[in-house]
Amino acid sequence: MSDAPDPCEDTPEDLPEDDGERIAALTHALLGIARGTFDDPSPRDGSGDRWDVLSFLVNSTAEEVRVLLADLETERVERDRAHARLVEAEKLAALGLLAAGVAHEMNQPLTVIMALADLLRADPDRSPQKLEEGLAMIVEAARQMGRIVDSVRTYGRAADVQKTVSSALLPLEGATVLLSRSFAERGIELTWNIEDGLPRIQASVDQLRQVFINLLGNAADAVMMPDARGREVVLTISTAEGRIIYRVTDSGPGVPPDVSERLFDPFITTKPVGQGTGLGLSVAMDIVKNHGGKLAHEAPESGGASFIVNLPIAEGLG
Amino acid sequence: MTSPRVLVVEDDPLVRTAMVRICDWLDLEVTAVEDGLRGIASLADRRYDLVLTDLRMPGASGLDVARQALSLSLRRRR
Repeated sequence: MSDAPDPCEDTPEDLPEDDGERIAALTHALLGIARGTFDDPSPRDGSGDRWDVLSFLVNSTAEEVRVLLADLETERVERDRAHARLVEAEKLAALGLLAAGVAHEMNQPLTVIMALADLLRADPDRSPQKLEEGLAMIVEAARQMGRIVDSVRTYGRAADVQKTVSSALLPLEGATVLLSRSFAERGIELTWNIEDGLPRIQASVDQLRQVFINLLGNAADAVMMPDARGREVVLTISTAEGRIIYRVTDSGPGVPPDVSERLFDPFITTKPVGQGTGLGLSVAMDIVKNHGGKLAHEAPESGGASFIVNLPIAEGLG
Repeated sequence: MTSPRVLVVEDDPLVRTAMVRICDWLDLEVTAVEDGLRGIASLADRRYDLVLTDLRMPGASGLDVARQALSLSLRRRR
């Protein structure tokens, strides 16, 4: 004991001393608050003495903390709901884009079929050779439509996360089939650099296709920005140390430094209001991680942006 | 009399092949290219009686092809 006055000894007159039971009750109530349980208040005798006032204060604190925690929980639930709604909106936006792309894709072979069938029907003296040529083209056009329908059908089953051993190119091909029209229309040049003899991957092709649709869609948006250096998107696929590396590089203005650190966080977007929910890369990151892979951004020295998907090769098949 | 010459400018391979086929059926002499820039280059190479071009294509658009065709034809007429 020091000579300095102990504040605890400076007890007011009205505090009854040596009340072990009441100290134990207060301690118990405070422990409850510390543990986050508020249903066991400190008992009060209503006398208004210092013990009673202390119990009142402890109980008020417990009540206040309980209310604040309940508010926090309500807000957390609301935030989760808002997040779920935005994810849904992103899906719908992707679906709208898909529908527009599909309409374009279907219209071309349909026009071919109608033109050829009309011409053949209008020519009563058609030669067998002409008929054969025309019908062969009609069949080819119908096959092309069938391929588009197939790619949409698998897109619709996006919830199916079953992984199968597949060609490393399959998810990319699915994405480029759906995007090729919108690239061509905007004058965007897509270049492929593919290493020979690529190994296979173990993947949900539907989900990985979504990743490449997001990355290629971002690249296309980037090269259409006013400060882009050109309208080029380069797709490189190579292997290194038992992994397969997909690289999507664009000649856009690059990712602003203040954004690059938060790039994969939800709701981060550099696109104009209404054009991006900021969820594309966050969704892509989730999918790639779910495949035991990594998704990263690099800023090439030549400018623009590179997004790298690094996936493991299917086991026993590398 | 020689067959009329047609230039087809179309980036969709299916549509391009169909157009070439139809031109063949009509006994036209047809040249087909896959984008606007090649279309413009072809116009400089030789004269065509008819140009059938897609509008939206990589490189140069169908409108660019049409403008080039018009300006060449005006120049050649002088």
